[in-house]
Amino acid sequence: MPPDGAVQYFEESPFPRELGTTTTGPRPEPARLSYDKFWQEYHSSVERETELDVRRKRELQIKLEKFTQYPVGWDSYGAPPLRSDTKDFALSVLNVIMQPRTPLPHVAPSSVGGLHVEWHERGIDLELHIIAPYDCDVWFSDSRNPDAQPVEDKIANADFAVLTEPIDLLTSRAD
Amino acid sequence: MADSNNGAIPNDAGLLRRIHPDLVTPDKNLGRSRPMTGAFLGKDKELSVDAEPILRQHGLDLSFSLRNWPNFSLARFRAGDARAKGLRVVHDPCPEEQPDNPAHTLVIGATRSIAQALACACEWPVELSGQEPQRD
Repeated sequence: MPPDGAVQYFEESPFPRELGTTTTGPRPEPARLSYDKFWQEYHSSVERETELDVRRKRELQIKLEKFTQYPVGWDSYGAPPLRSDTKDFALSVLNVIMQPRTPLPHVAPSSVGGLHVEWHERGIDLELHIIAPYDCDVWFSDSRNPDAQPVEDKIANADFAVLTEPIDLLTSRAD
Repeated sequence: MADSNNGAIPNDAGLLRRIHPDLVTPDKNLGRSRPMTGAFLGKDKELSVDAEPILRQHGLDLSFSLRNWPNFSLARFRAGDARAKGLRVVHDPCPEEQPDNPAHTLVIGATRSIAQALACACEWPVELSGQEPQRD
């Protein structure tokens, strides 16, 4: 047997008959194949997740684009359409805070040319009113945590740390 | 503008707010659809509504509130609920943007948390399909 014969032997034949009769079944698939398969599946699931993420973000982008084209008074009470700079800012914020498995928020234009972004699921109520770039109101409540007080905050810069906890909960918590 | 916070619009009066379809959110925590909180946040903390008893006094019904907006829904909350949260309910008939609306009323002072409470507690007198429910 050549020096690497043993390796070759293990890899090529899951059930080497030349060793004679045996009462045991074929050996399970070699560990190395399972390892390859694992990575193959892992990569394809990551690719699927990335594709999904890109598609979801594209859907949001199309929606927000549509809001910028609404006529003045679209809500029947004189509201202006979503401002273009606010749309761009909102998309960049969502891109930063949302993770691949974060549920999509419900979005709608606001009465002042801004954007309402709301999640109401998994016990979380998270509302973000993007009034204009770097001018946002945040409201967050967690009904499954009796000790947690509702959080109301104003974001006037690019620091969205206040959204980290609710987004993590929305992403990781079961329905 | 007549200040009807003194009771001219009674506490049990229904106040009707038109809701654009985009402003209806599926609230999975409540298990039903409701107006987004933002639908109850007006400019300068002034929320335009129609007072139901005044509509009736003028021989009008809910369809008047949707006369130019057939795809909208109508959400209703009580004047008493708004007052209980410290809001003013002010009859403001025929404003410039709605000169034909004798029932136009302003609810003044809603903060985000009050708007959310109203959005969660309101009824849908006109279903999302735009149909007024049958009356008994």
